[in-house]
Amino acid sequence: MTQHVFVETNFVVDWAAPAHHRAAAAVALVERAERGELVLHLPAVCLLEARSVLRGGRFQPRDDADPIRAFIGLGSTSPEEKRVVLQSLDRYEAYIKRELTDAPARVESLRQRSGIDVFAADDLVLVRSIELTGEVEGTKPFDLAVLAAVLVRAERIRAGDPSAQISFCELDADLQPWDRKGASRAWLQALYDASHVWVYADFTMVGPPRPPSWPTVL
Amino acid sequence: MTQTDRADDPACYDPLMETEGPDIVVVAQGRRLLAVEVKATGDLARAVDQLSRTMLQLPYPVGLVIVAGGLVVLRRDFGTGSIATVGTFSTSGVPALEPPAPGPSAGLVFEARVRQWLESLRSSHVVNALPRPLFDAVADWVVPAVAAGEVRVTGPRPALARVG
Repeated sequence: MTQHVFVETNFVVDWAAPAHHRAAAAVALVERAERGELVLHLPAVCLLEARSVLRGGRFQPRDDADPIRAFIGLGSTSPEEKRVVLQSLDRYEAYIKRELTDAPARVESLRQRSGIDVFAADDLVLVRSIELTGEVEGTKPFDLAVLAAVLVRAERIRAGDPSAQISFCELDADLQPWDRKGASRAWLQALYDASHVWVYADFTMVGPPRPPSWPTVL
Repeated sequence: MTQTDRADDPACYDPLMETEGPDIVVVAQGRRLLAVEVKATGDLARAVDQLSRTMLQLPYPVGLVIVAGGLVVLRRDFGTGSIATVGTFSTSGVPALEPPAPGPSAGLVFEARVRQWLESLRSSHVVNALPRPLFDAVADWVVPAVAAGEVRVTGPRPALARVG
């Protein structure tokens, strides 16, 4: 039975972030795909969004470094300590800058890796996306586009291989079929169920635990 | 019964099934701030070990294991790349963290209490009322996360009235 795992923008960001921010679980998932243990599916539009996130403010080092520079400036450290710390902070900023400069190429490299299916939205996805817009309110158009891409691709996989085991590692709260208190978001749950997509809360794929019989009980 | 038949009651997600991931997380715009493991009963050392593994897989800087009567604060040691224990603290004297009566729903009830308690820590009033040394641990390691992020459970939970 082939295991198919959908991932989205958060996965790309966690995989391509500056090294000390990287999620080991995301790195491990790519390695498993490269070893042929599973197939990773990624809507191509998520690559674009990930590049934008990586360029944005989340990983910029200034917020981390400046308070320490300010502390050093208060004069409570020796000149030698001050020199070492300021030098280290400069190196840290240069390192992050380099990592963020390299990040777009790293993101794009996912297309070339074996076991990873980066797929573009086709007509069916666009139609599904429009249908979803009519069905639900309050969900961002980009999220609906990702959702449509996952559902359509999952249905296509299952049509070709009815025994395929399909999962979605979804960190975005807007597309998790439960709210922050754990109450079911029924419309989302029904969509995932209909496409036989099990939703995990992160890339470790341990929770919510998938019953061994699912979805054969259907 | 099909899974879609019970879409309003996601019984296919079994809330009583043992899971290895954290029960509650605090996140802010994609940044992971805090992972929380809640155990109404069971082995504390195993829970600490489990959460430590999660913190190594996903970059949570701080972890919290909450059991009946106490909590353990974990942090990522950036020097060694391992997970270090900050300390173990009694929660006696904190009514919001009192363990529920034993029963099949005890775990879910306790988790809900912990989630509400974490959310309540946004109020300095609640934090200031904590006994020492719990106050220091919570103020240093937990409050910065809950003040900046959203407290979320990591999977579907049934309405407690329908449990057990």
